[in-house]
Amino acid sequence: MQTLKPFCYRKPLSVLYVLLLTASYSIAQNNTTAYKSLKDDTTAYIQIENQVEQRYKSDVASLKSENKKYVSEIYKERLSKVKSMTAHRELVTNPEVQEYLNALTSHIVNSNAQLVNLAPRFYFSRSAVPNAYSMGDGTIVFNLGLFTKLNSEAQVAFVLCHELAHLYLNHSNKSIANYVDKMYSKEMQQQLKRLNATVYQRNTQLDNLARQFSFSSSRHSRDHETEADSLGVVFLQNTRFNTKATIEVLGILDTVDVDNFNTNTFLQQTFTWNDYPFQPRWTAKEEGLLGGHASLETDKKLEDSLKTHPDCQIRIKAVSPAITASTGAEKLDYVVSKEKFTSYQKLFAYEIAEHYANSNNLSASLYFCLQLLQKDSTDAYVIATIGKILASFYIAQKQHRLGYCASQPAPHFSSSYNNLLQFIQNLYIEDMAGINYFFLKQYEQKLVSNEDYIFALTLSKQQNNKAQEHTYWKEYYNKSFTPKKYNLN
Amino acid sequence: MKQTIIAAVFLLLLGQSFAQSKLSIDNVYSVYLRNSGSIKEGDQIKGYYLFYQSDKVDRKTNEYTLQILDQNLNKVKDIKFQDSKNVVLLEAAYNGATLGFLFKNDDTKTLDMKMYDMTGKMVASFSNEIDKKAERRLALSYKVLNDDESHNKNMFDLKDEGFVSLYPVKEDGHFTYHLEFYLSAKKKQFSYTAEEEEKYALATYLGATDGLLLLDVTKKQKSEVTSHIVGINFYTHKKVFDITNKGNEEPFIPINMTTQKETGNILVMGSYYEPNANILKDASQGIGVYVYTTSGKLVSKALNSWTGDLSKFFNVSSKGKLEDIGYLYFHDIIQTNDGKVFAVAEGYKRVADGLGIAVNALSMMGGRVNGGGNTKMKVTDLVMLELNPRYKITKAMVYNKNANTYPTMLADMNSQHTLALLMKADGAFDYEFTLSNSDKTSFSVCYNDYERSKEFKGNVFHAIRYNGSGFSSDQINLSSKATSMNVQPAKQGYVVIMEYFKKEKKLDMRMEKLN
Repeated sequence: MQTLKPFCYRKPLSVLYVLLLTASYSIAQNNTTAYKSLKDDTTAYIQIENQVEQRYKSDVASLKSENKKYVSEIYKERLSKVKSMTAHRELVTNPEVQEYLNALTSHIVNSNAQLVNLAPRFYFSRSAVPNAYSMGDGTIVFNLGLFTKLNSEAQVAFVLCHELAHLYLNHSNKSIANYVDKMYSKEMQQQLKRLNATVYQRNTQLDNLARQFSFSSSRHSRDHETEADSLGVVFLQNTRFNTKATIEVLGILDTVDVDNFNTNTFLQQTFTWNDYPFQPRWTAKEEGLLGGHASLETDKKLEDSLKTHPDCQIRIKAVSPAITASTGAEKLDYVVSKEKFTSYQKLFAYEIAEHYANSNNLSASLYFCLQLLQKDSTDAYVIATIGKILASFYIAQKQHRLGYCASQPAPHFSSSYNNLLQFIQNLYIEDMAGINYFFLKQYEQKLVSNEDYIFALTLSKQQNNKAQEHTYWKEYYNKSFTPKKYNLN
Repeated sequence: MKQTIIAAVFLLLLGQSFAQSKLSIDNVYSVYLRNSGSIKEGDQIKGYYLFYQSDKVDRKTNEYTLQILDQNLNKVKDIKFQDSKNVVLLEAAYNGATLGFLFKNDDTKTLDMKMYDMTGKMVASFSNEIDKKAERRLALSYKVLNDDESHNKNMFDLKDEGFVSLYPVKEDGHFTYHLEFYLSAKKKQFSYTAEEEEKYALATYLGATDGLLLLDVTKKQKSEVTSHIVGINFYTHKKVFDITNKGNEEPFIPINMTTQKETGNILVMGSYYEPNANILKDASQGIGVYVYTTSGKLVSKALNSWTGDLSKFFNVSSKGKLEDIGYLYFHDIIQTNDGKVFAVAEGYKRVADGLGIAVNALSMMGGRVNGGGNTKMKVTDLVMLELNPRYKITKAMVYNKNANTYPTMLADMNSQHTLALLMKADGAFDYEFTLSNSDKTSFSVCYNDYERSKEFKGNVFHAIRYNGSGFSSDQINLSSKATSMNVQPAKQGYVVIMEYFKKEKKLDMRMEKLN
């Protein structure tokens, strides 16, 4: 997997599949009612697929370039990526949430006449990556991972204005055309043919060619970002939103990749009981290049040259004059609903954890659940989900398939997430069962009416070889819940 | 049963499998994967390497890329260098600070050691000429099939100091051994050639302490075969001791060694014999643990006899043959940090070969001399012995396996020990490797078996795990949609499952935890 710079909120096509599991949380959780996952509108997925398919066909039909074949191939890749997001239920199609997003975007579009004919389509994605992106076919995706980091509707509005600016300026399609025109130009093809016939130092010359190509694309990309910032501010100025949000967002993005979750301390505090104390070997790790926790050395100069986005501080400096000039007393932090913004911020933190659980990325889901547990140690959803994940790990490990649902520590993950992955790796199968047994046991009196919890609890009894307790809770489950979500027979 | 090992060298041709009217950078680019392997520090798997030919520089030179993967299979470093086009990467090792790679260069006829620090910067390189005879021996030593894959064959780390390569030499009718010490910190290299007067001295790596390299050397002079533990100081370049079984009360053949944490003394474990026994022909008497100082002085010994100590757990014949199991061949001995010692052995015995007998009978009826052996070898169960801190056997556990046979013409003519060595070299045993963590609190013993049951028919990979207090067992059925599937050693508690899909030209590697 490749990493995505957390401060990039326009995701380039090449990294659409990337999952970056950054670590911080920003919500003040005060959960009084158990979280219930958002119910998606399944017909909306069909609608989205039809819309992007239609758009793809019209985009391809309008291509005139001699390299139409190659441009349309990239468009097709773009289409399949949107389809993949619908197939994996990554896009949120819950009617209420979509209505809220539409209210925000309608205000922006209706305040900027030049945007009306673009027919943009906005969606929330359940990705944890703090990012938003315009795909060039009218689709604009806003990740929940970014939404939970922002503090007002005005900040969300600036991000949307920035992405609308990309769409308005046709940056994505221009980048594709630029890439294809250069790659398939007569000059480049001659160079490639010559290299194809070259026996010696072919790859070295190709590396140089690829580097030049990347430098050029990255420079263009940075220019596009600067343009989108400037035009985004103009779009935002035309709305009722507070333009100062621009500086606030860029400030947040500057530090969005800072990982504050102290995994090992929290694991030690959470998974220790008198009868089953925490063992230091559960979090022991080998560092260094070969230990899975290496800090990779990077070529700073090269990395800077290949950045697709300018540094946030440079961006703040560039947009500041326009914002200072536009300050007005009537500008608002909330236009649609502060109440909804606040409630969705809380809800989305759960949606992210749930999404990764549903996508079988259980280590990521556990990571987000532990952060939610730190906020509220009595949260029924979080307790039950952690119990279900640990029980699933037990089953997967038994079948030698843990690798399919839990990642290995890797240098490109945050150190906090790597510490959790190391913990999962270090546990013997009997540790997994023991930890889950004692973790869930402490809530037996409090969560008897929570079906997910009782299901996880029953599994933990079975996996920890507590036959009598297992029988008791299995019978309890079978007589207490109708209809049943799980089959315990 | 052993499984087929996927050829390590294969070709990667990126993007050339489809026709395209125009070219792109990707489909002009081509790299070749020369080989791949694991990076080991002692008996620990620390990472992996992929050795690519990344470009051709000129008619005689290639550019190579050594891609370093960490213990979790993450790519962490690319090391590029230029060298002759006829370069083969033999082995890699890690000593906690430096990565060492041993290459064989067929153009320069040299054995080259290249050492890199953890940033990928070369810290030292050494080159040694190899003559044709030595090359043949070297090639032979790497051709040993199905050896324990958790250990290197010829290149070993010397703790923080560097590496040593050990290879056999045959000169002037003498078959002996040669050592090349590569000291990374001091950037020094020195050679050590055995100054033995014996005609035959076969050395294998036994282990290393902070300053000593220990070798298990079998020497043959005239018809007398003796077993030795040779200690060589890798600072002074001198032999410190040569402990021989000749004249000992109980001569023994070492299996492996470790150091005692508290005393720094050397603990050597092996099979012991009767006084004046021929260690190649005679039956061993039991398993012994010998403690030596770093100067080679015997501190203590503990003997566990087949007929005395082991007979508490098995019916044992006077020759050390266990009922139903046969003789024991010891693959590994592990000392855990709680002072316990575990010995891993596998049973083997001679059985009548029906086909061989029939062939011989037909041969004789036709007036010909014996056409084949009347017996063949049978590999039986896995046996785990537990020894207490005084190195006496306290428990014996038998892990039943489906017996497999090893037909050999030599079964009728050799001693049980010699036959075991032949079987080991030929990969006839089912034992695969032992994985232990660095602080020796836990270990997993891994072996293969072929099962024919209603539920499953095929190779099954087994692991017996000790977690510091008890044993548990685990198994992985080696069947999938892949053309072939193979389990390789990985960091402690893990194995790498490799699945090769011939049609898709795809090799999948994934790490899985043992239960």
